[in-house]
Amino acid sequence: MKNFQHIAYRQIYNVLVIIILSLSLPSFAQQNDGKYVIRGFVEDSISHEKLSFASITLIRGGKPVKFSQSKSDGSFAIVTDGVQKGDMLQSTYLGYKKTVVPVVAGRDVVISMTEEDFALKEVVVQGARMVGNDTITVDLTRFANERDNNLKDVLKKLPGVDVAKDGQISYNGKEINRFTVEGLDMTNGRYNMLTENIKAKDVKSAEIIEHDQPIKALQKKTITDNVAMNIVLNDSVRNKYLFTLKPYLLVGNPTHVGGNANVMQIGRKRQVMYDATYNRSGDDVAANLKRFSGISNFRISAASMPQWLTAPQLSAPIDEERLRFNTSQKYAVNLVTQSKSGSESHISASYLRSVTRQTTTNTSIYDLGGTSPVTTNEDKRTKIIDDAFNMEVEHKVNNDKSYGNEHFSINANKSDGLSAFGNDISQRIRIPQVDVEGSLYRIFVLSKSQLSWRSTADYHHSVSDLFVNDDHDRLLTNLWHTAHSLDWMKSSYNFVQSYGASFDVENTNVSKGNNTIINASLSPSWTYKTEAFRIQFSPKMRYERLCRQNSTYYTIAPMVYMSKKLGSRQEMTLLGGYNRSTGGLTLYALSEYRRSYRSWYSNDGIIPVVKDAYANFSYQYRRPIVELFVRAEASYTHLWNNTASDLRIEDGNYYTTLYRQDSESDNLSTQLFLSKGFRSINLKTSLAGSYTLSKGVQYSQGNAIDYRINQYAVTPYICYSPEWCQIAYEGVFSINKSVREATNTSLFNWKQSFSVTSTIRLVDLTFSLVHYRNELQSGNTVNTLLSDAGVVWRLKKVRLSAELRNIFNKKSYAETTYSGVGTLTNSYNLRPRELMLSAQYSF
Amino acid sequence: MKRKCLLLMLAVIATFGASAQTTQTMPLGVDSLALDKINYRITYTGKAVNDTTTSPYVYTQAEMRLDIGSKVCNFYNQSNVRMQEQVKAVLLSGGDIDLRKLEPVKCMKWQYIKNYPKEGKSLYNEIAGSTNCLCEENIEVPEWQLIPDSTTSIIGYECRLAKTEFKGRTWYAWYADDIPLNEGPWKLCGLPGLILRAYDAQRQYIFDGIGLENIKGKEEMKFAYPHRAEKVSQKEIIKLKKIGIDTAALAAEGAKIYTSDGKPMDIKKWKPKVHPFNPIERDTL
Repeated sequence: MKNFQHIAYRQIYNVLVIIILSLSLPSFAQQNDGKYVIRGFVEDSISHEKLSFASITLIRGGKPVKFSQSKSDGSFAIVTDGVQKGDMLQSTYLGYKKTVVPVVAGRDVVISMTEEDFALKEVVVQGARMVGNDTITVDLTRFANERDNNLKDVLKKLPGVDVAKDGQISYNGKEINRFTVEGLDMTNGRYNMLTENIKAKDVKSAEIIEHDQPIKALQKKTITDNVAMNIVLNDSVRNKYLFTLKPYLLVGNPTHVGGNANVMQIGRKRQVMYDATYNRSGDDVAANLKRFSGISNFRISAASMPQWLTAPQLSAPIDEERLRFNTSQKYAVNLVTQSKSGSESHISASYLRSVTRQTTTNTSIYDLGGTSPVTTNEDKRTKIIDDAFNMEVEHKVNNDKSYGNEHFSINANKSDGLSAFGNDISQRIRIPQVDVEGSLYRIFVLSKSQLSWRSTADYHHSVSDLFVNDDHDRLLTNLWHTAHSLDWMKSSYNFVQSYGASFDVENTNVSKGNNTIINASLSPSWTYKTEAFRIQFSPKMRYERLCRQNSTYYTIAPMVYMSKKLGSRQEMTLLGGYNRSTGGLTLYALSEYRRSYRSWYSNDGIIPVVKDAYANFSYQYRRPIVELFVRAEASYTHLWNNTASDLRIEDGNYYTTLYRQDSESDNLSTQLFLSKGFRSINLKTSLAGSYTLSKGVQYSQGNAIDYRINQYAVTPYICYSPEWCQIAYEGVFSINKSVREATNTSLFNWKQSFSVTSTIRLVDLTFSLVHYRNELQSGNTVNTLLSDAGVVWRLKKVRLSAELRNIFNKKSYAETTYSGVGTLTNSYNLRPRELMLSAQYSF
Repeated sequence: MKRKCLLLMLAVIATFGASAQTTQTMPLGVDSLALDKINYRITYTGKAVNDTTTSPYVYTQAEMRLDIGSKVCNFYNQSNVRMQEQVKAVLLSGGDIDLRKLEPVKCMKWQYIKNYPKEGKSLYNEIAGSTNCLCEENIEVPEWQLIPDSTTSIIGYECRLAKTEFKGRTWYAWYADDIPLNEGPWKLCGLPGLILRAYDAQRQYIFDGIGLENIKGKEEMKFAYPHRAEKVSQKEIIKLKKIGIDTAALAAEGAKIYTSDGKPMDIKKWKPKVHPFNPIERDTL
């Protein structure tokens, strides 16, 4: 019995053990605390290899409730408060398809996962295109696309940045003062040479530096309001020779060929550029050599040669290439090297020859206080031949302890303009001129102060020939000039004091008359500055002696300047002062001379003296990260003159006489500039507005005619440039109001240009329209619609392009402008319809 | 008189922990180590409140990146990297750095590398005061609690919410279970999907996913290992941050400082302001 009982117990024990074991092994186990554990494992569906670190989530009613991760042997366990109908297990694992299996009570859950590649649904984050505070770094690769040919095309797209037709670059409505590539200014301020020859695909970034101080010895001591821009190139093109050939064939009248060749190497220590151009297609070849800034910012300026005659030049109220009939050639070389010690040597030389033809008509109406206005008419055909040679050499040492700059330049120019007025009058103005200039600038950093010394010496020679039919007038001018200045500056804590003394002598010999002018001045200056505020007071004292005229002038010219930073985004400046100056030699050195075939000037010996009080206020706001730039500026000048110009018009001839007459005039100018970029849609917008007021008196034969001219202008601009197209619109709307005595007239003019480019793979198709609407003095309104179309085919190293210009074959353009008491209406002949075929080969 | 000081050479040391001598042989005093190949890159907007006494909170913001490799994950401040690149470019060209001219990076200037220097370990790198700190720790995975009745969409992915108590804060995280990556910003990880949004209960720290990229191993995951870093704990990092910049140590390093008007200033007399800070890990306080 006992044995039976023992066996029975034994059997019961075994059954219990089996039950317990069987309960603990399956996928569901009820724990003592009422919790259940769901167990199982995860494996590869084909190889049955166990998968570790897979995520397993218990889904109940479609919602995740609990989760776990598989262990190294692929097993997992999820503790839950029970199993409900419809419970699912969801497994996710990188490289496998998301798998959902039902939870079956009483069984291990085996999750077999099928391999599947995983890729994120990409959302690419692009950081700001413009970042920084006082130095703004612009990622140019985010603005450039395949359509853009050169750096200028890219810069035009930058919010807050404008590139004018002539190449001038502005930032936040203000012209920049320095433009460098890889830290060096190879062209000495000739922006166009760089922006037109550097390829868009070769640029990496631009740095816009506010309060730029390029002289290292003055950095952190003398703060400027200048703005600089530096371009950084892609590593792949740095130090490499880059060749560009751009031949063209223009089908028109005459059909001809021309082109441009450029070789360039740009590095951080050495930069060189050779450029040659032959052009007859209306391009302004000289614009490529136009200097906007450079060393002239720092050294004493050379004297200006008096311009007795107005050198003939192209008059172009609209895009110059539409009315320039030219044959131009240009050769230029620029070289800059930087030594290991940091000193820079710069050599540049250029030669330009340009023959330009222009046909214009002019009607001028002058309200000179008579019974009726005086009207003159002029039909003019002009041929201008310009020759210009320039060479300059500069050496610069620029480090923390000292600054040195030696500069030498020589210019030889000749401007020769032959004009025919109707059939009876011919006029030739020929002005050859030579300018030689040498200057130096030194800064010595002493223990607690610094001393700077600047000197310049220059010589100029010109011959001004005026031929009118058989008459010949010649003015021979020689000018010697030298100037020297010494400045000492000391800064302690927040105060900076500087004292300068300068001496300047200028001798101009014209028509055997010697005119010597001696200037001496003392320039003390006191500045208080903190990180956010600056105030400067500078009462300049000047002595001026006109030896031939036996006149002496003592002038005190005080100037106050204030600058205040309002946080990191806003800044405002205020400038005010008073000055007195004598007029240029052309106004008093000769008692009488002829200026043109119908214009004479006379002076009874009086020296014009102008006193002016001026004030300027500017405010700027910029937030580069959101591509928002705002600038507002207002300037006011009040002038007191001791002379007046008497204008007399008789038989179509102009007689201007300078005589003693106290007079006053006012000029007020206000500008507003707003620019905003929208990076997500590649959109740039800007809006500029301006208002100017000129108020004064014009004298004529004893009559004093008050005049007031109000000018309002608004310029909206928008450019949308995604990869597949570019749409640009610009409008210039202006209202000019002229009030003279009881006469009140106004002109409402506008220009609207619209262009659209469609990019289809490697081909860009462009169509553009420009509409001018000009009100003329006669009361007529002239509408001029000009149109162009072009196609560009972009290959790896070649860009082939064809452009049909002036599709509607418009022949002329006319507009009316106000000038003092004059109303001038000019008409210009335009280039006819032409087909331009060109290729650009870069390697 | 209030004198605001401009740090020039200080920036070099603060950013790279380098001495002038070291610079010649080892550019900017760092070893650039390749840790892994990057497979995925997640970009977050990181927001933080430095001064918790302000009301409402004033947030500072930075672009944060999570680079995920086959083994190692790297979470870092991309805004700071960008600024360092600018500084480096200036230094290599031989110029001075004017910090005022750079876009300031005001928060989360640290880096967290997971599974480095070895699996199961992590490395945290931050400059506290004038010390470049390295903190090596075991990886801790938060214990998450899923919140079933929750759903939202973040940059194209359906996300679920989870909650945890971690490092002294209550964290909420939105994860996408369609992305089989158990990672997230900072030390937040271990959910059954990638964390695309995370914030603490007081919303003093916020990470918002804004970008997803498949890098596919085309980029190296690099770590600029600082030569002169000190190995410290999280607690010590907090202490160093409370002390602020050690001017004596900087003077010994040969650092120079200048006043706003460009004059050199005795570094020992300089008393840099200690800015309020709000550490992301509060259990070390």
